[in-house]
Amino acid sequence: MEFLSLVLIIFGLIWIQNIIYRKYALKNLDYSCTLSVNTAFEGDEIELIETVVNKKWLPLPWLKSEITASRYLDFAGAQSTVSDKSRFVPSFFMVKSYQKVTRKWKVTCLKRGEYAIDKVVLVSTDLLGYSSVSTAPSINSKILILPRPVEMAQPAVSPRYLSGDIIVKRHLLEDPFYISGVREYTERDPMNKIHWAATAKSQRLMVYQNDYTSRQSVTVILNMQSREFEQFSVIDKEAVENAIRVAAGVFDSTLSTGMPMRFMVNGNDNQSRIPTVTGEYFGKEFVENLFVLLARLNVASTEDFGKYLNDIYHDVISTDIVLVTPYISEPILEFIRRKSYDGTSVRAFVIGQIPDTLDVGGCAVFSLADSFRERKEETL
Amino acid sequence: MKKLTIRNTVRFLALGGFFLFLYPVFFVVTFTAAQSGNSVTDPGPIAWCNRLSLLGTSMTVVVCYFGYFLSSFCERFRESKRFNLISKLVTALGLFIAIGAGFLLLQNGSGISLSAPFVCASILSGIVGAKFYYTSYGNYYSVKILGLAVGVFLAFIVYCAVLSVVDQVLSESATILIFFGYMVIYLLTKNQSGIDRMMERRKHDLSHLPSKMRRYSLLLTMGIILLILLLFAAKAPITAALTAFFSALREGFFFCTRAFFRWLASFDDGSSPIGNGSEDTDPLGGIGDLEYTTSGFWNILYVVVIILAIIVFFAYRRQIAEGIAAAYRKLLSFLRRIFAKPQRPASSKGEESYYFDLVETVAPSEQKPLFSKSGFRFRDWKKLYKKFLSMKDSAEKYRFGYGLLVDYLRLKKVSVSPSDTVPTIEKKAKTLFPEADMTSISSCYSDIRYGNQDDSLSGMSALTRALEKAEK
Repeated sequence: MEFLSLVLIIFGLIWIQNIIYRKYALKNLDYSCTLSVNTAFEGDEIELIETVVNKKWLPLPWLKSEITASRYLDFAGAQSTVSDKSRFVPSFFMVKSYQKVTRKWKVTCLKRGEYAIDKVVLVSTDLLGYSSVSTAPSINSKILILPRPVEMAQPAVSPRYLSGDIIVKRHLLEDPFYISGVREYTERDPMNKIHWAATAKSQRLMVYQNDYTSRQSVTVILNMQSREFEQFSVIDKEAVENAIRVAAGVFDSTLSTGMPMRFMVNGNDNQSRIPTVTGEYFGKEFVENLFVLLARLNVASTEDFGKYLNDIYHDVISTDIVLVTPYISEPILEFIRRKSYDGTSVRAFVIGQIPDTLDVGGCAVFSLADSFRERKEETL
Repeated sequence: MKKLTIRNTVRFLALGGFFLFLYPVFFVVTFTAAQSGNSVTDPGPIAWCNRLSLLGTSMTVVVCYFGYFLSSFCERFRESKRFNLISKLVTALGLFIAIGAGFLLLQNGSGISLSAPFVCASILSGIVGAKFYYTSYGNYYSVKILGLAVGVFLAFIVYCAVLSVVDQVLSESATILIFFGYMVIYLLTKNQSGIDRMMERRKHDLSHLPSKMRRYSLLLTMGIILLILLLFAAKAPITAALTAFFSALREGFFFCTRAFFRWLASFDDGSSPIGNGSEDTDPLGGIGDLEYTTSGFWNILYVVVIILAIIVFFAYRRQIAEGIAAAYRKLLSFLRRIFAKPQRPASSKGEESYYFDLVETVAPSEQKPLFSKSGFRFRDWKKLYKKFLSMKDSAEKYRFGYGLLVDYLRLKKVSVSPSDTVPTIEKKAKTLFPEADMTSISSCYSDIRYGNQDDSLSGMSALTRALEKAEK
């Protein structure tokens, strides 16, 4: 009887623990997987936060969460497995009774785009490994990685006019013809700006408040083709990504001048073949929206760039044009010459080398090949 | 020499524990040999058999380890042709010597019947040990091997029972101890190899698993082993308590039955064979009759008290369970305060720290009640539905029924918030009641709720049909 009772007790307990873990392991278990921010720039380090809360008496000695995320969110190092587009990361937890574990992974944003934590699967097992249970909690965590703007050695646009017809938030000088109100007198204000009526009314020295105006506006045109003869799908993706970063750099540098800006690109962020064009605005919020647009751009062109420039020739009426293109060709030079002849200031930033066969005399064309090659060498 | 980790320790333990099931085999062999010269009930042979069996088992374990380490040694020189040649020559020579020695022993005949099983088992364990070097330790204890081992022990007990020496053997030998040791090693091996298997399933590197997970898992398994020990030690009082309870129930049942038949017999005028109350015609055959006449009242009382205790326990089961859970949590937090270690970033030796862990205790406000109401709410909803059916048709009944409909949506995990309007609820309800006329239900409810008295209660029939469908 003693021996039988020992056998019954042992196998009974093995069976009971198996049933308990199979039924209750994943009950009263809260899991969340979120990213610390909604937007970040390329190269930024953010956090991926996993939270596991075990709200029951049953401890979980082995709990695994299999995270499937985009390969461009770099975390977990050697612990992760990278495939074509995805990164699989196993994360092992040991959660005791009524315990909460918060795990923060360091994540580096490698490439611009919109990414999400695609899927997470939770797996647990009983003490003896006889059975395992799994579940897939719903995860809703996305991040938009913005292109990191390249610091421009050459200024994208040089302010030429100190005043104009367009009111801007900030410029070099106030426009004496545009009065927007009154303000208190400061030591730097000249005496002829004093508003005597307002001074008498408020019993304090008051002067005219002038707005900033500008006559300049800039259109940034981005080319999503990496080679001259390329149809829709891009061959040199890295060149196009660099062009996007340069465009972001142009937006950044133009923001400080306060000039109204417009963005045109022979690409889009959806499946249609319609090129993207924005309205003409200025300000930080608009530039942020442009960054978001750049982040979402598909690496594909909607039409040939030469033809595109021809089509938009008469639509571009800004005082300044900035062309960002992975390559330079005769149709592009033709566009630059024609616009320059019309009095528009055109600057072209070329990602690759300028071929010797092309005559760029009289055109403001700058090659950024050397600086990108140095950057690549530094990274390696 | 491999690093002394939990995994390696358990692996070596598993290797040694594999041949423990040979103990009863050796015992039977030596006992049979002892029987030929001595009386079965002579206490001497059992102790002698125990000693020899322990010696034989230890020998097989040692030879098993020897075979394992020999494989480990040979593995280093696998590429060496010279070593391979020498090892083949030594093996051939060894076999020749073994055959020769066996032949001489057979010729001589002394002690062959007793030593042969031990020698054969040792040779077998050496070979198996050498093979185990190339086998994952998780495969040492497959279901078949476990079944074989338990079967051997059970067969041994049956054998002893046939010879009527079970109690003597169990008390004087190490059978129970050896079996318990075998099962302990089995549990520890399964625990650690289960972790390895879960890692290997998705080809995860074992070095990515934090070592504290193995330790904690091992700790929980040892907790199970401790529980086995406690239950085994307390088996006598547990068995006695259960026996007393069930025998009291049985006696109480028989007492009640006897009293009922006696009451029936009191109506009989003597013509029926059942009625005269004699022992010959007693339907219970006089079971415990004398006992009942003297102690029946106390048995009844005992049974009534137990039944009352069961009723009270069932009625207050939630409170009792939550009280036990609260006491358990308090004990846990007390133990954690005593054994708390400072928080460190989670990292393994030789690896970068890819992440940082923060471990906290779940606050009491975050803890869910032990018995959440959701498991019983549908029962409560059904009660309210019955109340709805029993009400007379009126605006109040309609509003009550509409509230039941919204409660049903919540039971089915459709999110309904207090700020939802009637059209919003109508849209959500259509997902669960696609055939119901939700438009008329909602419009009638709006009329009643927001002022326009709808005496016709036009939506009542649609509402009743929808609730009827929900109840099913």
